[in-house]
Amino acid sequence: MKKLGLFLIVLAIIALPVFANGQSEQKATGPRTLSVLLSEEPSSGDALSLILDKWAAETGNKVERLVIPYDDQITKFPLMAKNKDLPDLVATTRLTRLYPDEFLDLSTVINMAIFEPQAVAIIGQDYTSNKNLCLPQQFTITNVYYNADAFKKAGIEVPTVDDPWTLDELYANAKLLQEKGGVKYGMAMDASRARYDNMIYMNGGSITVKNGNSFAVNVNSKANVEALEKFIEWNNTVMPKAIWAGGTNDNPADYFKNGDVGIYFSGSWQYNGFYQDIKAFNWGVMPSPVGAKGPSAIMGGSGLAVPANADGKDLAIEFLKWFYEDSANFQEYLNNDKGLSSLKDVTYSPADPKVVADYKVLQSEVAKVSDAFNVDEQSNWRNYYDNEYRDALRQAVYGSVSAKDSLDDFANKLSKKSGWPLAK
Amino acid sequence: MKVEKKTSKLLTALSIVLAIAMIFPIFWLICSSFKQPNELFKYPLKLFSSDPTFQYYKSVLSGGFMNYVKNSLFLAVVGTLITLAISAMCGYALAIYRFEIKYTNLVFAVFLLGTLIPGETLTVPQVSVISALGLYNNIWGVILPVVTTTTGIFMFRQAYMAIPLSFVEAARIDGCPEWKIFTHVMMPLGSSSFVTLAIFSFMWRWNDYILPMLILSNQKNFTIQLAIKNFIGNTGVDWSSILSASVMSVIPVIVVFVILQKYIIGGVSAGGVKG
Repeated sequence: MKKLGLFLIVLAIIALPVFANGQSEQKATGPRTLSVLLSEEPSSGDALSLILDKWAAETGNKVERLVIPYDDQITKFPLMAKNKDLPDLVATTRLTRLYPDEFLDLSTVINMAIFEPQAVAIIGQDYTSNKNLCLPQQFTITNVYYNADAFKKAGIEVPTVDDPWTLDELYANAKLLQEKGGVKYGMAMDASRARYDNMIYMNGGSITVKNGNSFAVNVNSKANVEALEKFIEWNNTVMPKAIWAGGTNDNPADYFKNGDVGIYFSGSWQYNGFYQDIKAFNWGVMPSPVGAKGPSAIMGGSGLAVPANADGKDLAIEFLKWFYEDSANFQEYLNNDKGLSSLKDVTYSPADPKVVADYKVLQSEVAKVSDAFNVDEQSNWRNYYDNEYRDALRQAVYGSVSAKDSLDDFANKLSKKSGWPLAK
Repeated sequence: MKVEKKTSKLLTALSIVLAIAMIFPIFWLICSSFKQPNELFKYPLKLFSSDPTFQYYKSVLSGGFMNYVKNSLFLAVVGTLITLAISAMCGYALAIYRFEIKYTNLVFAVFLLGTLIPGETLTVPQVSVISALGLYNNIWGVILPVVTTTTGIFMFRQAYMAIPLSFVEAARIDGCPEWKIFTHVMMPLGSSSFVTLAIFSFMWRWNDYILPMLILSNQKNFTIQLAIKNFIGNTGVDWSSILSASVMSVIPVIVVFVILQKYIIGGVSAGGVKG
């Protein structure tokens, strides 16, 4: 008994200093502190972290990172707002769309003419007001990676920007890669509806269609059902089915990095990581395939926003001006990010010939963004249902319901919640 | 006799199988924490790395992991100390005064009824109260809401009920004040319950995720479980860092368990069987 008491007291003494640490907030008398909300622990080569550190070093201010995982932000951000405990700067893909009243209109402090309009529209996700709550930081596009060694082994020529594969050619070559290329899976795709949606756009489908000034639900159209049926067939033959059927949380990017996948559907945000991590085999970026109704790519990305009630909102604006209005700073960020530029006058000019070639393919994907995708974005259908759509796709891939039934069910749900009619 | 021997052997074999089933995932976790990222999902899976590395331990530690350890340690130890004090006193009152004070058993029944309410449903009111008390983003906002546990009270009540009331009566006749009866007579007799609840409480606080996630919003105050979740990103998961951090996070729990495990069986028996 005495031993237990002694043991607990010793542990408490060891832990006591943290009490002082945790409770005493420093009052800023010298350098100011910019608190930044991130959605994951930044890696050593993270472009945003590096540029924040550069700003801190140049200005003598401090940067305090607050990491709240993407999934938890929806729970945590409203609580922070309610308790008036908001970070000064938020790196986000969706918080400004979900809580628009909590953020400053940044068009009043930053010259919006410097940005690519597409980037502003896609990342801002605000199609109803003239406000700009979120400035583009990482501008991304979906793209296709390939295992060059596996292609060589299987005797497959890499498609070119001028002569991309059709979906049938893609499937045939994925089979060939699996048979002769030394890979376990011919292809893989992130378990994300945004990657899958390219298939419906290529097939002439969409989630919604314009209906006067409003929208109609189109997710169970014939084109969508056919696209899903094709996707199910792919999953049953050349893809790691568990990823989409819900049997695992494995990230297909890890499979690709291991050399287990021949063709990988993901996005430009992976490029920097692949460039640093993949040394065991040759790889590259290939143009995405073309479907019955044309090509498709989906733009996206994350932006920077300033909560209206943040204590350090002025400091956050100072950082934004430094970051965007001095092109050398954004250029440095872009060089580290190796992604698309969201500023008109800043372009990425890599020195490595491999990156130059890959970057050209990435840029060619931007032109493939379809009108149907733009309509879906404007509808903001994800405000009604988001993960439920992916769940519907998963059920169909798993085989518990047919593609048609699964999409019909989701279409009815979306129609009911949004108040939009089903498209004829 | 032969049948007994056979049964004993069978049970021993079953125990070994169960032990392996319990230990193997931890062993796999430890082995995987030394693997390079490209080995983690390489099929066929291998137990040992062909190119072991400490890189991810180093990167996790350099990212301020020890601060999260200190926060979790503070939360777990202080939370456990308060839980033990409240549970022991409450259990003592419910056990010893059950004949002296009317409705004591009814009060206990109300406590038990509380366990029927799912914890998740209490989260929103808990957070609202913490917020109203000004404990948002304060480690005490994570400690205080969970220091009262019906399991602990139940455990102590049962343990003290197993002790003959004559001990208390004898002490009273000798003029021992009530507080001293509790601390000098009953507490030593119920020591195994202290140890058992200490282990459980430490593990509950150490592994708690939801409440710290909701209450803490300053990274300096984050606990280990919050820090580990931060390696799960929107577009990818840093498994190597998660594995290294997880290995480091289980060490204190194992240390506490190893030191106190010899008492745990006695505590469970005292709380669950007697009385």
